[in-house]
Amino acid sequence: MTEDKEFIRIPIGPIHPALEEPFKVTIVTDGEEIVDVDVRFGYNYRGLEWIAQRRNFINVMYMAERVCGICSFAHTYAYAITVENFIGQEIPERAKYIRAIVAELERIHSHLLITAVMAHNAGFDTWFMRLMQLREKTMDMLELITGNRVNYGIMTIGGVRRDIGDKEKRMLTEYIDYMQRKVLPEIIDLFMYNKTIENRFIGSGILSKEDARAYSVVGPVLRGSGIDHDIRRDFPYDAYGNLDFEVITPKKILGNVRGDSYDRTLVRIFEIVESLKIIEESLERLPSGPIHGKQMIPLPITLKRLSGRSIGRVEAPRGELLHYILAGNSEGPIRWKVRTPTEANAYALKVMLKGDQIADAPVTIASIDPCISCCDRITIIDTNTGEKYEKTFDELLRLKSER
Amino acid sequence: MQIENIIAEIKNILEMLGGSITEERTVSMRPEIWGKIDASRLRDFFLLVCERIGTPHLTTIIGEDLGDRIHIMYPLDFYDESQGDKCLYFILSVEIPKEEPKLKSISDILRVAWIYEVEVSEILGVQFEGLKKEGRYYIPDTIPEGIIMRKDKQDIVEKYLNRAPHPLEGGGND
Amino acid sequence: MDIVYTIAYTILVILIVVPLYSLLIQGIDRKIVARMQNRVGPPIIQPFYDFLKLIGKEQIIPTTARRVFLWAPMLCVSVALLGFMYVPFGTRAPLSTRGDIIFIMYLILMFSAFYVLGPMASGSPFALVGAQRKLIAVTSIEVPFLMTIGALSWLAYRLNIGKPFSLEALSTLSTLIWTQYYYLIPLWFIAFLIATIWLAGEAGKGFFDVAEAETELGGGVEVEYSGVSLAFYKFAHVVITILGASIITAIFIPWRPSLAMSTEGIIASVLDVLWHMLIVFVLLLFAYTIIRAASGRFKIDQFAMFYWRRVLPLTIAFVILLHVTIAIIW
Repeated sequence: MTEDKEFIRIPIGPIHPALEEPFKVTIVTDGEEIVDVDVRFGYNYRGLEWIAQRRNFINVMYMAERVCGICSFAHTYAYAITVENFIGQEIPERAKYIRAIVAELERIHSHLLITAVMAHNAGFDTWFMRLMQLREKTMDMLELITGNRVNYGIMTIGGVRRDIGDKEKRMLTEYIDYMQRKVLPEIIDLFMYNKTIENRFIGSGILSKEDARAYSVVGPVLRGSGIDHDIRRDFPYDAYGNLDFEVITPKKILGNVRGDSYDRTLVRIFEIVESLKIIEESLERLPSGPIHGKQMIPLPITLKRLSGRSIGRVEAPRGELLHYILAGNSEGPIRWKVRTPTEANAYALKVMLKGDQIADAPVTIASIDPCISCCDRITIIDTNTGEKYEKTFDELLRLKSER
Repeated sequence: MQIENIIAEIKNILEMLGGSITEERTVSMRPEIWGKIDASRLRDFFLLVCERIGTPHLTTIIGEDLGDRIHIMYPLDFYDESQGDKCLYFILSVEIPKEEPKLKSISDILRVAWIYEVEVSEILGVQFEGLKKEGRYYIPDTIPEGIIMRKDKQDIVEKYLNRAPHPLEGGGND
Repeated sequence: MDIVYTIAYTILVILIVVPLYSLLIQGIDRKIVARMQNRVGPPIIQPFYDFLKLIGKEQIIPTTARRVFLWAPMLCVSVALLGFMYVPFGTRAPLSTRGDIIFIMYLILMFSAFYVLGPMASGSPFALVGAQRKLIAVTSIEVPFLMTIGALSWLAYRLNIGKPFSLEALSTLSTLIWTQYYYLIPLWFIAFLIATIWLAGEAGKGFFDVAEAETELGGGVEVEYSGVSLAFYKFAHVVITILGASIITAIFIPWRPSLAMSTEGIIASVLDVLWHMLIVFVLLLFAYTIIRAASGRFKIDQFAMFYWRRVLPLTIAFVILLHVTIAIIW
C-alpha cells in the first residue's frame, strides 16, 4: 500500500443538524479519529459595525439587541454600561437590581437551551424534549417581566424601561421555588447518574488548564477547565458588587477537573443554581425608587457631547462580552466594536477536537456554546454571489425615504 | 502576583520600552490603565510581560481608522484566580501610519491573537508580519481587503452593497 | 407446494399486509415515544403521509454517485420482502424447506450488504462514515446470533425434529422444550435474550443508532437519498426489522391461535396473522420503542465492545452449556 493516506475531510456545517447556526468546522479524519480541525465563520453576515457608524447612539442600542437572539440582553447590557461609563453618573439602584434579574433569567434559559442541544447531539432525545419543556417556564417569566420572549427591549441608557410590580414579584418567587424544588434536582440527578451522559460527555473535547490560558477562552469553557474567573465577581458591574454568589468550577463540585464536555455542562447546570440565588436575593433587596436616571434626560443631547473611549464588559451566558465605543462629539459612535465570547472559544476547538472520534465532534462543538449570530457582524455582501441578508427596520425605512 | 506588583511591573516595562501611561481610571471598582507604546517595541512588550508576569488574557484586538493613522488597541486582562478583588484591566495602544499599515504579529506569543489579527487585517487592511493565513476568514473572497472600515474608501464600498428592496414597493440597486 | 396458497400469501401478506403493518407500527412507535416524553406526538397514520409525500418529491442524485446508488434501495426492499417467503408471518411460510435457516441468515446479511452498498456509491463523506459504521455494527451483532441459531439447529438435528436446519424445526424445538425437556428452559431464556439483543442492534435505535446517526453525520447512510429512493430505503429498514422480529417469534414463541382451536382454513390464517402482528409489536416495543425513548447513542467503539465483550462471551457460555447438558443427559 502507498505510504501517504488520504484523509477524509468531513465538513460539519454550514448546514448540519448538530449546529444551531451556520459556521463550518472541517474535520480531517483518519477513519473515525480526528486529525486536524479548521474553523471558519462568515456565513451570517450583517454588516452591523459598518451600519453603526452611520447611526446615533439610541439606534445602536436597537442594533446591539439584535446581534443575537439568545444573549440579546447581555449585548444591550454591555452597550449600556459602555455608554454610561462616559456619562459618569450612577444609575438608580432599583434599575441595577432589575437588570440583574433579567440578566440572570436570560442566563438560565440560555444554559437550558445549550444543554438540551448537547443532549440532542448525543442522541438522547428524551432529555432534549424535557429540558426544552422546562425552559418554557423561564420564557414565561421573561415574557411576564419584559413583554417579550426574545429581544426584550427593557434596557435603556440610564436605567430600564419597565418596572417589576407586586404581581411579578409574587410569580417570580413561585417560579424560583418551583425550579429549586422540582426542576433542578431532576436535572442534576439525571445529569450526574446517567450512563448515556457518562459515555458520551466524559472524555470528549478535553481542554487542559494550560491550553485554556494560552487560548484565552472565556466563560463556562474557561471555568470548566479549572480556572476561576468570572467578570461578575472580578470586575463587578452594577449590582453584582453587592450580591453574594459563587463562581462554579468543577473542582468545587466533583473535586477534580478534567476539562471535557462533561465539566463544561456541569458548570452550566450549577450556574443555573447560582442564578436562582441571585434572583432571589435581588428580589429581596429591591429598593424603591425610580427606574430611570432623570438626570440623564434629555438623553440625545447628553450623548452628542460625549468624547473619548470606553470599554464595557459583562458576563454573558457564554462568556465575557466586550463592547467598545469611540465617541467624538458626534451623533453616534465613530467606532463600535463587539467582541463576542464565541470568537475566542471557537478557536480553541482546534485543540479540543484533536484525537477524538467523529462522534465526539458535535457534542464538543455544542459544548462551547456557539452563538454565531454574535460572531458575524462585519462586512458587506457581493452582488455577484447573490447572497441576501436582512436589514434592520430602520434601514428599510431609510431606503423608503431615500427614493 | 499581587496586583500592585503587576501595576508597578507594567509601568516599569513601559518606561523601559519608551511607552507611557495615558490614563488611569476606575471602572467597575477595578483599576483600568490605558497605555501607549511605539509600534516597533510591541513584541518586546509582550515578551517581557509573558516572562515577568505570566501569560496575559488577551481579550481582543480593536482596530480603528482615525483619518491619517490607524489606531490598534490590545486590552489585557490580569486576574488573580484566588482573589476576586485583585484584578487589573490594561489597554495598550499602538498607532501606525495609514500609508504603510504594517505591524508585527504576536500570534506566536499569544495563540489567540491569530483570529483577532485576521479580523483586523481583513477589515482594515493592516498587514501583520508573520501572520499565517490561508484564505479569507470573515469576508467573502470577491471583496478586496481593507475597504470595509476605512473611512476614505466608502465610495468603493457602495459598489458592493446589495440593498434589499423594500418589501412592498420593490426596486433595488441593480 | 400449494400454488394457490403461495400466490395468496404472496399477494396478501407480502405485498399488502407487511408494508401496511410496517408503516402502522412506525406510527404507533412514534406516538408511544411522544407520550413517554410528555408531548402529544404525531397521529398514528403519520408514516403513511410521510411515505406518500416522499414518493411525490423530486429525486436529487449527487453527481459523484454511481448507478448502483439508485438500485440499492430497490434491492434492499426485494431482499427484505423475499425473506417473508421463508419466515412465517403467522401462517405457514410457503417456501419453507430443509436448510432454510441458513438461507434466511444469508438473506439478512445480503440485506446489510445492499444497505451499505448504496451509501458507499454515493460519494459523500457522511454516507461513507455511516456505511463504515453499519458494517462494523453488522459484523458485531451477527456473530453471537449466528452462533446461537447454529447451536439450536444442531440440537434440533440431534433430536431428529422436523426437517434438518429449517425454521420449522426450531419452532417445534421450542414447543418441545416447554412441554418435554424442562431442564433446557434456562438455556432457552438465554438464547431468547441473545436473540432480542440482536434484534435491538439490527433495528438500530437508541443505544444502537450508529448508522443513521442524525445529529452526528447528518443522517449517516441515508443522507444522500431523497424522494422515492429515500422512501424505499427507510421502508426497507423497517421491513428487515419486522423480519428479524418474525424470525424470533417463529423460533421462540411458536404458539398460534389456530393450534389452540385446531382449525384450518382462512379464518384460522387471519387469526394467526393478527396474533403474529401483536407479538411482533410487543417484541419491538422493547427492542425499538423503549430503547429509543430511554437512551442516547453509543459511540461506535462502545457499540462494538458491548457486543464483543459482553454478548459474545455469553453466547460462548450458552453453547458450551448446551453441549454439556446434552452430553450429560444422553
